Amino acid sequence: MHGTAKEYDVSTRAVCKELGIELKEVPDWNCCGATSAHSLDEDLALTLPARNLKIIEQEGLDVIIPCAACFSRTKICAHTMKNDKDMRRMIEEKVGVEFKLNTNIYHLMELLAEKVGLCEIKKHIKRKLDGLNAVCYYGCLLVRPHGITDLDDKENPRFLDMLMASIGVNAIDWPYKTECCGASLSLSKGDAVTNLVSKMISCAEEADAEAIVTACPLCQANLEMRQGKGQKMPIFYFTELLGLAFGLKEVEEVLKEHLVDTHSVVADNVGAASGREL
Amino acid sequence: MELLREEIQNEFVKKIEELSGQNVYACYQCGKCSAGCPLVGQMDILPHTILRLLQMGQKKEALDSETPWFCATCLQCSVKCPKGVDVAGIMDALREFLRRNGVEKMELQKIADRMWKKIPQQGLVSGFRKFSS
Repeated sequence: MHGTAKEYDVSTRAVCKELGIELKEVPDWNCCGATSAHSLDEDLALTLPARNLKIIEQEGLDVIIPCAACFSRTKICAHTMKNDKDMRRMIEEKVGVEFKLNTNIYHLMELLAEKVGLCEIKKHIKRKLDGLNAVCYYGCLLVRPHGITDLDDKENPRFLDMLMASIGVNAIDWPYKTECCGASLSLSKGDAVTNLVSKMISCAEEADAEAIVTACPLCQANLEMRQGKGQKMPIFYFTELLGLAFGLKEVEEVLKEHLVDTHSVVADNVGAASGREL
Repeated sequence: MELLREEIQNEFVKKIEELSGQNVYACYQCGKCSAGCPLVGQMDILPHTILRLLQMGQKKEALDSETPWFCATCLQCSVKCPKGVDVAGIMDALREFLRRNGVEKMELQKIADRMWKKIPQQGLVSGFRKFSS
């Protein structure tokens, strides 16, 4: 979020501020290991997020995780500690603390759709994004493994669609909602991933979408980078579109950071220039 | 011909079961994992066939396959399996096994200089995970 997903960072902070959610970054956080650690060593994959959980417990706050992989790994870590005494002992020994496991772990999308609620979100809208046709893309790790992340429906999740509909976006149904974009192979097997992504972009085009909305920094980077020849589909974080609807200046600014030009879609539909005020 | 699990389940299969925490004999070869896998087009052996190879104790075939290296761990197979086998976990175990035995799959020198700055850190880490130890 401090690096290539700066747009997500800026828009998340801006949207949360607007909604009255006070954020505090986890001090001295470490990488959760994402999809990499569990291929190397299962113990490592559980201990890395456990160190973050330790700091969060010491802070005495709940945690909001905007990244799908971090969310999935942290949930798996907490779930394993709750259900496997031996693993819990191993992790506690390594991290050097006894866990209470009373921290609520939310994905940002879940928090906004369920805890904050669509009614509250609607109150903050400055201009509706009425003209924008978009498909919502959840990717793999938000809804899987379902028993553990416990988020929305595992085959047809609706959180993002509901959030987007609440700000006026026409959220179109499509079949690749929870398909994997292959981001973890993006470097090592670029051709295979371009293949996957271009198929998804074509499907979104067929569904008459002008943009894809995601809730994962890796999906966003991958969907932008690995599009096929001639494809130029803007990929938005859901927080960016919320920020535009709330009329937040810093979010409009940060849209310039995208690899695929977002200007035409934003100017045509969002009415940033024409100011389609409510 | 009569096949007994005691006879064909070798140390290798036991190790994979231990690393993944899965029972490879639970698989009844319905093929739903392969049907749902987004990367199946790139794989030389289908995921459910890997399971079958493990059931038969075919170490060399399972380890020589490109399939575990194309697995993106999206968990589609694990969700789809009607027998609750975590197929992605088994792919993890295969990679882990190979890695512990020092198999190298990627030459870092082949990555172009201009790419180093462009690729997100996570992408690099994931590249290492897939191909080197």
